[in-house]
Amino acid sequence: MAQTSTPITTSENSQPPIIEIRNFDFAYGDSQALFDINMDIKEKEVTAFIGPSGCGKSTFLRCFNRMNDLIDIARIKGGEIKISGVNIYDKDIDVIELRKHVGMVFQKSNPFPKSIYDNIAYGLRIQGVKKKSTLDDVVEECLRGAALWDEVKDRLNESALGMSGGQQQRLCIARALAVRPKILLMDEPCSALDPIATAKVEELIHELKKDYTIVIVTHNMQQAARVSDRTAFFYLGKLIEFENTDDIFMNPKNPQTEAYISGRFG
Amino acid sequence: MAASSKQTDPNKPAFSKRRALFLGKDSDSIIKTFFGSNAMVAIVILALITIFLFKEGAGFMGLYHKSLEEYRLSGLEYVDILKEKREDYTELTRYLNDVKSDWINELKASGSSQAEISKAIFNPEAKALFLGYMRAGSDLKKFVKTKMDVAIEIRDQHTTNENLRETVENYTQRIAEIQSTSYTFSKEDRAKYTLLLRDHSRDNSLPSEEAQRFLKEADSITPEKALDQADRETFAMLLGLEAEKIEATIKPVDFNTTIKGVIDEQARYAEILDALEVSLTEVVATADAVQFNSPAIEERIATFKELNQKFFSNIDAHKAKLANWDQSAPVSIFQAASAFLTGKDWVTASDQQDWYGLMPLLSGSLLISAIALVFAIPFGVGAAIYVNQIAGPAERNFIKPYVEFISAIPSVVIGFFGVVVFGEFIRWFSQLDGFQWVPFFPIQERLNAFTAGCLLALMAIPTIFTLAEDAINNIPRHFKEASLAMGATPLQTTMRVIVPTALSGIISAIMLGFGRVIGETMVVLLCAGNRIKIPDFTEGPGVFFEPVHTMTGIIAQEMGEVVQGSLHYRALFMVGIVLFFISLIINYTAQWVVKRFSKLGD
Repeated sequence: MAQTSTPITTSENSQPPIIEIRNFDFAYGDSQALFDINMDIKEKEVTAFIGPSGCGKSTFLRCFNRMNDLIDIARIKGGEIKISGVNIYDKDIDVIELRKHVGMVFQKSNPFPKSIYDNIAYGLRIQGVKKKSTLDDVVEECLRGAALWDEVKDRLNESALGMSGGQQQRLCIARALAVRPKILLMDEPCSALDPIATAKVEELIHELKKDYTIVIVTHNMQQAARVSDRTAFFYLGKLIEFENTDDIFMNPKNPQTEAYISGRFG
Repeated sequence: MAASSKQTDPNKPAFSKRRALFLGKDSDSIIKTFFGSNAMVAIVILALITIFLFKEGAGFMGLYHKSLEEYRLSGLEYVDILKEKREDYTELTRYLNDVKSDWINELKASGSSQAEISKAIFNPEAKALFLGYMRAGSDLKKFVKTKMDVAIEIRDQHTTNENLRETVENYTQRIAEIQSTSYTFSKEDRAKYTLLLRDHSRDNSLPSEEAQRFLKEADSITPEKALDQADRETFAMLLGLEAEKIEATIKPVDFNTTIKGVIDEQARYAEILDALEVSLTEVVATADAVQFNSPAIEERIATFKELNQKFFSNIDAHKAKLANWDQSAPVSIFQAASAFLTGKDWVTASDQQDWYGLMPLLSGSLLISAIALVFAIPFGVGAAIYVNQIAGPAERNFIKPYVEFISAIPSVVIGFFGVVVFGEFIRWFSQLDGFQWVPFFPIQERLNAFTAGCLLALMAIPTIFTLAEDAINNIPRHFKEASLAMGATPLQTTMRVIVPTALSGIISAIMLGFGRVIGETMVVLLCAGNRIKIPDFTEGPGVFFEPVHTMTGIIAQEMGEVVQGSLHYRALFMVGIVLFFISLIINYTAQWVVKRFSKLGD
């Protein structure tokens, strides 16, 4: 199993990777979903995963914060994922701390049926923070960080479910920021949004790049082209190509990538 | 069938004719009709049940009002005021006897021999106290008894008259029926007619040939013989005579006069009370001379003296109450309603006055329900949360069907278990030496509110569990994921996100569990002890171990033996109506809670 193929990495960036994936195999029960993935993700960059439906990109993303643990039949068949040099599938890993370190935004905006304020404060409250002034500061900071503050500052105590879809998704991003993660995983964050809301979220991703490492799954190739620094193309559970975004869209090396990008399948 | 639908005119397109299965209807509309009519039947039956319940219960207020009026007119109410003082005195006598037996016990405990004990309690001073106190009240008891008998007699006579009048009324109707030309004689009529003719022929005041004629007529009647107009008239005449005889036995009761037999002798009663005060004061004073040699007993005697002082000081108020009693004060229908809704007694088939007060039953039902819910809510909701959020699939597949299986146990089996096993266990447990520090242990009754409440909890758990589990299961998965992805522990996720979100469903599950508990009959009938008395809430937690009766229990127990249409019968229906409204409110609240608070996502 432990055959070491050279990780597909992009050449020119010299800083050490924050996420290293080596020979990663993953299965749901008997059906293998990911095959021998090798990949390095660099800090404070936006990495996009593209590929046709069912190619395993979302599954792969959910491996980074071990959300797949919730699925009874999911298991790692081999390989490892290291975040900041630590294998996150080591048996000593504190999953709770890992998830604070690696935040996640889901495909469907999922604010809790609580007030806007309580949604953001939730992440802190579960850590035992009770002080009102600290909570107030963090709520404001996160909402500003998610470019939502001006829109909602007057109705913080209203239900989050009364917001528009785009606002709800940005609220979810703000909520994820509240626990101060280093890495932010986004699983098709704009798939349910209209173009204007999408533009706002993309703009936000651009802003967040300064402080966070972002991994985004999308099946919208234009979006990948717009927001990401690097793009990985997955097909049938395998990583086909991982390159600088410009390269992969202008000059794909693999014919499958080219076929997908040019819209011939997928 | 499908073939028939294909038989369309080849010249027309296929959509030109609707597919018909049966009587020109297609399968959709047949299904719709079927289920629609099922729903209709359900609604109609519900409406019929409601109408029946209200129809049978409706007459209650009027009858109860009348009963209360008679209670006042006959002077029974006055007698009940008289009885108050007698009850107080009896209560004091009982208290003194209690002191006496405690004293004996204490003497025994201190190692006195039987002879010494006898000597102590039969010494002249002690005797004067214990026996003297008991004897002092005999005049009072006699007086109250006499007055009570008078009032009961008035009341009984009145009731008899009412019944006789009703009979006469029935006769009059019957006669009117017979006199109409279209009337035909039934088999019973022929028998009755023959009997009346024979009876009448023996009447000595009749001329003998007339008597002979009646006898002949009686003999001639056979099942086949045709009876004519003359026969009908004779029959009606004879029935009329009989009704007259019955009417003659009515001895009208004039409440205004009869009441004098009850309320006279007020002066004598005052004298009796005064004499009682004097003699009791004397007797109580002898207590000082008795050597109790025990601080505890002496303390109780001191309390006894205080109670006596209270008894004496109340005498004037008592007299005033009697003097102010007014036979002619009207009883309003609202008094009847409030006597039912807030009445503290449920006394039936009494020789004096029947009382139909809801309070003992309602408080019993609510007490048992409260006990049941105290156990059922944590277990039911807790199990639901555990099974849905914490347990693994194997555990889930084991626990869920087993909890739901509890609801398949017939309630009579649970009740039986409660009587034979659980009730016995509780009593045995409360009598263990190690637990005597618990204030209300040992408990006396094996069957009490607690026993019934625990078993009802067992019955409510599956309801609450299933509905609460459904509610939790309906929480979209993404709430859980979002919380976990932020570094919340599974427990935090459950308590801070899942449960608050499912709260409306959980509350409605609890409400429906409550509905299940308050409507349950068999278990409470078997296990609640069936004592019709408002639980004594001043006892603290001991109140949970008192036998109580319930609304459902009383209906099941008494409905079988009441006369249809009587006041008692209608009272039971009124209890049913109250129960119906409680259930209605519970169900409505449950639905409202779900509607009001379940604005989940989109």
